[in-house]
Amino acid sequence: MAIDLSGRTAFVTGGGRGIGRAISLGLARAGADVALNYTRNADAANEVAEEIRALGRRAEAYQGDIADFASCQAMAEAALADFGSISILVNNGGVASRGNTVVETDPEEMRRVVNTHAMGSYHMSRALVPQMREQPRGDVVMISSVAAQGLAARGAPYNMGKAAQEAIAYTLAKEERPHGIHVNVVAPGLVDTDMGRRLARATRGVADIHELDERSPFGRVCAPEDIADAVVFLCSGDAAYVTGQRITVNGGGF
Amino acid sequence: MGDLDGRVALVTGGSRGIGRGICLRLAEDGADIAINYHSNADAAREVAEEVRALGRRAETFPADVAVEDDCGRLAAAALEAFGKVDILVNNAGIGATAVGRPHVAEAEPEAFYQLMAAHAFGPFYLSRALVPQMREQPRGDVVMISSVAAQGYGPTGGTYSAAKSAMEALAHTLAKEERQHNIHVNVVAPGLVETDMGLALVKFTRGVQSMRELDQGQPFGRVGQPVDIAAAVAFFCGPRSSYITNQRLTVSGG
Repeated sequence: MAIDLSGRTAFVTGGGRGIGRAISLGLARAGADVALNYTRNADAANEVAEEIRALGRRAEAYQGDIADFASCQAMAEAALADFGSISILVNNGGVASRGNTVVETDPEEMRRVVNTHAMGSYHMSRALVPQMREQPRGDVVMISSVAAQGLAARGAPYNMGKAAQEAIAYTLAKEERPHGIHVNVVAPGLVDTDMGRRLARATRGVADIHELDERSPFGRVCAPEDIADAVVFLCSGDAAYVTGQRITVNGGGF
Repeated sequence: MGDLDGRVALVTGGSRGIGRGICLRLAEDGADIAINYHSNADAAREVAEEVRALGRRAETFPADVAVEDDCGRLAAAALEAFGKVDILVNNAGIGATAVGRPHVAEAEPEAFYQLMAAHAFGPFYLSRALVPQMREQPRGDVVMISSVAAQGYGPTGGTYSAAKSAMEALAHTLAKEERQHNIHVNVVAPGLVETDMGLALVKFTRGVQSMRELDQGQPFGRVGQPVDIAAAVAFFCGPRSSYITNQRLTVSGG
C-alpha cells in the first residue's frame, strides 16, 4: 500500500544537504509539504526547495542555528506563519566532531557538537510539539547514529550528543503519546554524504567512499535515500502503533 | 503495482490472529501466500479465500512447526505449489497462558520444551529448509514475530520469554550469515494485540472479559491490532528497507 502523507507539513533541520536533503525529498514524494532549515548553504537549501516544488508540494527554506533556542523559535514561528501547522519534525541537523580523544577535546568543540545534536533536537521539539498536539497526528523523528551505541574512541562530543538526543526522544515519546504524537529514532551508519565521505577518508583511508562498496553490507555504502525511507515509514499509517523505537539503517552492521 | 509483486510468502500460523493479518497485508502488497495452519483448516481456507479475493494466489498447508519433519514437508509442499518462497514469516506460536504461566521454578519441563520447539526450533527448521533456495532469488526476507516478552521478562512468563529470546538470537545470527545473499532477517516484537491469544492473556493477567475494557488505558487509546503488526512486516519485506537487516521493531505503542 502506498504511503500517503498528503495534508501534512514537515520541518526538517539540516534539510539542504546529505541525509536531510533525501529526507525532505522523500517526505515530499510521499505527499508532505516541507519546511527545511539550513545553517549556511542557502543555495543548496533553495535547490532542494525547488525540487520539492517541482514535485507539486510546497517548500520553504529557513536559515537558523539549531544550537540556539531563539533562532529555533524564530524559525518555528516563520514556518508556522507560512504553513499553518507542522505535524512532522525531523531533527537531522548535525555536525561531526574532530576526532580528538576526550582529554584533547576543546571545551568549545564539546559544547558546540553536543548543543547541536541534543539541545538542537530539544529546542525544535519545544518550539513545535505544542501545536502538534492539536493535529490528528504528530511525529518527531531523531536522526541519530550508530555512534550512540558504538561509542568509539575519539568521538566523544558526537557520541555524547547523539546519546543525549536519543534520551530526549524516548522521554518525549512517553510524554506526548496521549496527544497522538509519535517519537522515534533512525540510526544510520556510514552514509554516502559529504560528512560520510570525509569520515571515510579520515577513518578508513579511502579517497573515494565507493571503494568501500564491496566490503559493505549488500555490496554498497548506505545511500541517503535509505535513511529517508525509514523516516517516511515511521511517519506513516504503517507505523500508527510504533513509538519510542529505534531503527538502525546500516545494513545490519559490520 | 504493489511493493511485493512477484514474491511468495510462507506465513506460519497464518490462519488466525496476527498471522491472518500478515497474510492479508502481504497479499494487498502483491505477494502470493502459502498459509500454514496447525489445526483450524476452516479458518485457513477462509484466509486463503480472502487472499484470492485480492487477486493473489493462496494455498493452505497443515503442519506443526514444532515438529522437524512437519517443517520439512511444509517447505517442500510450499515450494512444489509456488516454485519458490522468498519471504518466510515465522509467526506461529503458543501463548504463555496456554501452558499456565508458571514461575520458572514451577514450570513443567514438557511445557518449556513445547514453547521452545514452537518458537525457536520451528523457525530454525524452516529457515534451514527455505533459506538455501532464497539465495537464488533477487532478495529474500525472514521475519520473526517475537514479543515484548523477549526483553520484558515479566514474572510467570519466563519460559515464554526464553523461547522468544532464543528465536531472536536465531534471527540476529542468521541476518549476519545470509546478508551476502541479499537475505534480510528482522524481528517484529508485538505487545498486547487483539487476537484470541491476546484475549486469553488479558483474561488471565488482568481479569477482563473484553479488550474494549482495556482500550482507554492503552497507548494511543486502543489495543494493538493485527494490522499494526502486519504493517511492520510489510515494511521489513519491502523496498523501503533494502538497507535494513538484523533489526528489531517493537510494535506496542511504546
